[in-house]
Amino acid sequence: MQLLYIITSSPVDIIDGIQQVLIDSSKRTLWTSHILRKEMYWNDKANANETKFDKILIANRGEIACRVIKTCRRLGIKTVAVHSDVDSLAVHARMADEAVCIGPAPTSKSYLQMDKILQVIKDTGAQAVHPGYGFLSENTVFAARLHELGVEFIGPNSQSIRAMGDKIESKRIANKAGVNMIPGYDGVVEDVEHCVKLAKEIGYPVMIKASAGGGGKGMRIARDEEEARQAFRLCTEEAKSSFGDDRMLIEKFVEDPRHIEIQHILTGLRKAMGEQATALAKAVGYDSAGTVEFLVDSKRNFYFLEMNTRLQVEHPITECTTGIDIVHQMIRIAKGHKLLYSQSDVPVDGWSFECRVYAEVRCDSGVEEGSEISIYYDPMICKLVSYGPDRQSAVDTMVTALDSYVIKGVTHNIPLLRDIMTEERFLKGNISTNYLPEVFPAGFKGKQLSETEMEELVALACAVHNTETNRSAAFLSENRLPVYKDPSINWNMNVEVGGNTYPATVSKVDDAYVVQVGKNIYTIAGKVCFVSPLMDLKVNDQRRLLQFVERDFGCHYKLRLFGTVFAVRVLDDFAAAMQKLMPEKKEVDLSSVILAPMPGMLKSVDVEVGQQVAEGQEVCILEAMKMQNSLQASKVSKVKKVNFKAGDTVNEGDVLVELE
Amino acid sequence: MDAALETEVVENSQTKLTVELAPTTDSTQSTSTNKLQTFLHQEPAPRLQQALQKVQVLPDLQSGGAAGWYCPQLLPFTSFAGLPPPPPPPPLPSLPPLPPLPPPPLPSLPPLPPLPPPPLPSLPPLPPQFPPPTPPPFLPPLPPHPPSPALPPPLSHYAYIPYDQTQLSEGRFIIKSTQRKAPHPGFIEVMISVFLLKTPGVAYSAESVCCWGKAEGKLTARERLQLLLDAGSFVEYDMFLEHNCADFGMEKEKYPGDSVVTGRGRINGRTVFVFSQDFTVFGGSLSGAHAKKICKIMDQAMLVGAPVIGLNDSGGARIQEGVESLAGYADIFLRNVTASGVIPQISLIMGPCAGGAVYSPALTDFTFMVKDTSYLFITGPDVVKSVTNEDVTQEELGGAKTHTTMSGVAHKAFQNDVDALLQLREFFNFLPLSNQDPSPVRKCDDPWDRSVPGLDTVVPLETTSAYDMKDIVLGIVDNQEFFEIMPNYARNIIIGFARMDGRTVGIVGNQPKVAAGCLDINSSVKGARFVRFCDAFNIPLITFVDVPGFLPGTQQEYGGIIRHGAKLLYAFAEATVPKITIITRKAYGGAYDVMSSKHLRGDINYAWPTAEVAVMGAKGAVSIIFRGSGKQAEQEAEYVDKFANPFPAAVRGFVDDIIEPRTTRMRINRDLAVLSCKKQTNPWKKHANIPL
Repeated sequence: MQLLYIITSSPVDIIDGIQQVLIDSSKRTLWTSHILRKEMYWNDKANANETKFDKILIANRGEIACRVIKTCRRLGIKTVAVHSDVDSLAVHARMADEAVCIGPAPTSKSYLQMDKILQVIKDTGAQAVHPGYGFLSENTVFAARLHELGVEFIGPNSQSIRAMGDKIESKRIANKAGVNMIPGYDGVVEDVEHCVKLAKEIGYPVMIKASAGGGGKGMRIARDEEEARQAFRLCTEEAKSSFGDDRMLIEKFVEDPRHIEIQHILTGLRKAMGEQATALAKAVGYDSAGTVEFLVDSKRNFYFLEMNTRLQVEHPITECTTGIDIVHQMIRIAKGHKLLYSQSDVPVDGWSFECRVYAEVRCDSGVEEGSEISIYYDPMICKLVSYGPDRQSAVDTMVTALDSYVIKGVTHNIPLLRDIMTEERFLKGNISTNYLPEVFPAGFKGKQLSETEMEELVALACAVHNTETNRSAAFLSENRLPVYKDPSINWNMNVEVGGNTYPATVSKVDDAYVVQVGKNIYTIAGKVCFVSPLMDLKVNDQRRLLQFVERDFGCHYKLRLFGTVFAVRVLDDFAAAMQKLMPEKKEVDLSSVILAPMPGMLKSVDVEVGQQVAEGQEVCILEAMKMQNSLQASKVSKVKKVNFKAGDTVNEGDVLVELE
Repeated sequence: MDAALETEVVENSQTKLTVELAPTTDSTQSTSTNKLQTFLHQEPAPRLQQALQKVQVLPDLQSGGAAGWYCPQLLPFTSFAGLPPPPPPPPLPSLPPLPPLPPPPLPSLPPLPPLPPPPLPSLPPLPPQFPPPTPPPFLPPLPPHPPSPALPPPLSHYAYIPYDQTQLSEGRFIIKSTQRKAPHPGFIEVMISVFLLKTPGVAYSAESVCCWGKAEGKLTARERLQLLLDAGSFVEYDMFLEHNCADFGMEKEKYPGDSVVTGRGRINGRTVFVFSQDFTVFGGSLSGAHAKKICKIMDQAMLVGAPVIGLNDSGGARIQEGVESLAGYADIFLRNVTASGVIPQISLIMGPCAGGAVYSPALTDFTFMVKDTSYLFITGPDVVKSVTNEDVTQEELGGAKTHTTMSGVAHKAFQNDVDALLQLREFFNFLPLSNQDPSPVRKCDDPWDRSVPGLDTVVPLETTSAYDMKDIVLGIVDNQEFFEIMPNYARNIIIGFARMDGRTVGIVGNQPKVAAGCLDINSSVKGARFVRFCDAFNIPLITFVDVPGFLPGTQQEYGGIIRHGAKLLYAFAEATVPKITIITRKAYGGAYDVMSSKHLRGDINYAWPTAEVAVMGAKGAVSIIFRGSGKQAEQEAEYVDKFANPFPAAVRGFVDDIIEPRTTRMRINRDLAVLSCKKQTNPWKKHANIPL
């Protein structure tokens, strides 16, 4: 468990659980408001006097619960939140009109506990239940039991859920409905051997995935037999713990695919896929919001992937471009009202992007400053959604939003998101599900600065350091021995970044800093100060959002520029010369210890003391953030010590296994 | 035992230290020249070579005046120092080519025949009868010198050529002269000697390489001062003071300033007195002269009311001086004690500090160390081995890790010299100059009334689970800057300095993350000393309380938890500075009283809604109240209902308010503003009698 601080700098605020970021072009500031939100749903249709539910229970947590509560509030519907004990102070629990604790932290003892939720429904008199996504959203038993109680399940009927929720079943139906299919095995994979055999028949690469899966969990690609074995084992375990169903299916892996989702209360390659999507929905007698996912290969062939019978994580994009409040429409349908749209009423207007901001690298938000990102739940911090009349403006808004987003206390994926948003291939729209491995073959190592960008960083670091130095000498209470003021007008500095030292000369001209780095001169305008972690500056008239992450004693700073946090140290000439004389300290040899990369629970420990291990051999599996992480030995060695056993909860940095 | 070790260290340094830059006719010194040659031959020391190359004094053509060529090797440090025994070491072969007085403006560099590029080895013994340069009148007594036959330079020369104007340009030193006429050569020589003496990184670093062949990473005494102090602010005292030992051949070996550099300077514009022991001179050993220099600046620091920072790097007592050296120590100890509570005293251990020498740092308010290169111990490993037969390394016995984690002797350890000195600058910013000054207030750009929503959720729901008190501290203080003291020792209590609306405050907090935040012997002592420092120097105290009580057990009882725990109680009770207390969760038993409670004159005591002020936890309490009869669960629930909340304390006025955690910063700042004119005095006493 760890504590997270999110400071949302004032212009960007968490509203409605969605980080709505819109740009007011006249002021070039980010802002958002409830009024805007209303305007955003310009295309939301409902009859003024139609009946509404009085009270809805939201059987979910986090951002999606907040999202549903917001729409309910707008409609004047009372809300009931359920939460686990660790979530008792979570945003969704506080936002709802009523909040009821339904058990301890593990989802199987709280959010997945139908009996308890049903009891809460009876106690609070909720008339309908919105399941959000995940948890019970696609659970037919739950839907059926609600029906027995006479409570509406806001979502499709249980028959369509059953048909589509199961990947194996859905493939059969889709096949019948004449939807394009990916080649694969039309049944359940029995065991590892069966998996390997099927993979051979289909031909590598293959995709092994949990029948009940979704959201990338319990899904892995295998390119050879060994990978297939490992993938099957890990997927099975993940599926078991996440969905309580370890049935696996296997299919051909579509190379260079692009993932398209057609949220089919809406339109969508668009027409052909849209038609197939609606055909499928009709085939199962669908009656709520859902999403049909397709894969499109490099030759623009498309294949049916799956159908999600629930509100999709990515629904804000559809909302932004169509102006429809999907949650509202779901509630209306559940209440028995008719959709007031025909397909032609659903425009696609402009572009929208959604970034999911995750804690731990791998963004609507249910967290705020001080919220805890529990190891028990999905580590998504928020969904950051941008909108613009064209693709570029939506991208630009997203970049500004990502730069302005201040998150402290956890590692997160904003650096990656920010880099993608300005990456050439992405900007051209040349994307596929292979995008990441192709663009970042060695993994994402933080923003790689160009020479000019590096010099800008150096210049900014100098400005920050100079501000800090001035502040250090700004004593207000010393009157006995007067404080001597530094009369200098320029200062030589040396900035250490990533092992290199860049000399620079800083001077202050009026309110601006003028920094010479190498042969170039950078003028930094705007207020360099530490009131807010976010500084809106101009470097040579180019807008730069600089985040002041941390200052450490000894002239160390952490600054976030272009999304990535850079550790810099600024020293004057003499200190820099002396620093060069300092011997490098020996770092602790990390190859002989295996540390927990994040807090979590040890799923298994596969080695014993004295056992010989090979480089890359799996030593233990850490389940954290609901994902299983395989921890491997980084050298050939013998196990010296095993400090934890399976089932133990470990903290980040704990030494799990020591090698000789 | 002390003596044994010191001999060892000093001998060590002596053998190396006889290495000199100035070759002379003196027999002892020519031996040293040989040693230098040998040294250079065996182990090329890049820093030495570099330093030697750097020093070339060029005529400053623009000013029309100046000098001649001087090669550093030929500049007699010792000659300048004026060795008492007559033939003052001759200053050098710079002679022949020197232009006649007054020299015509030097045309250009080349005309001066470059000095025989002084390959050290080839230097012949110098003729001793070289006319000694005129000793400038202000120099220390050099009575034996015959008055120079040459023209004594007018005083104005000295006035007009401040050596501060010496510049480093493209690796060469230029001495600027504002005089049209070139100064007297003897004068130049003096100035250059003085200049070299004063230039960090040149003269001494060369020597330091000799002494510290391996231990690169140890800066010289002057380099350290230059890093610590604001550029150009150092004013040196007693640069020419020498030891007066005449035994064991010591009269032949004298160095200007002896083995310590003393003076005053500024850190971020504020005055500080400093001394920096020079290991390159007799291993930094403490002579009578050395002690005298330190005492001088300490006395002056007391007079004006400014802190003293000592950079310790010394092998111990100067054994050749015998009791003189010991007297020196005692003189310093006495000043340490009289200055205690009057001006802040800080020690930074940057090399060995052994034997009696350790007691000076121990008497100062804060002792910091540099990792891997500093040691503090009463007796070294050899003596330990001979007495107790324990095998122990220097690092294990008295390294930074030992003292910051196990013994609690040192308050913090830093990576290296540069890191230590830069951080010391920042640390210094938290301190008032003396007990007559208020806690320093700095311009603050962090809004004083900033709301901290994260605090509402920091304390976990289960009273048994831990959280990090530092999260709370960092959330509340200005700019999340907290200078923690003793971060690795007795981690169940956290202490350190921070600022609230720009004003320095002392933070004390129980740390639930370590040993549930209980008070034990070490944490009590750690807390008590810090509280007393803050009280002595008008620094308001902010105390965060989450304490389940004192740690039980034989180990603690035998160790004297009663008298040690009393120290913290004593310190809080005695303190008259503004005291603000926030009870975040548990405040159980006697420990509740101790932690700056209302009863100990706490000015403002707040409780968070999660606070539980009680004699003990529910389980223990129930077993006593009900003696095991009845249903325990129910009884516990009753107890929790009654005591596990802030109300019992609030209704009695023991906490002033129950507050929303997110408003804590705003409230503390509001209260501090009011309390800034708090006046409270304890009854007159010679001094109090803290249970030591």
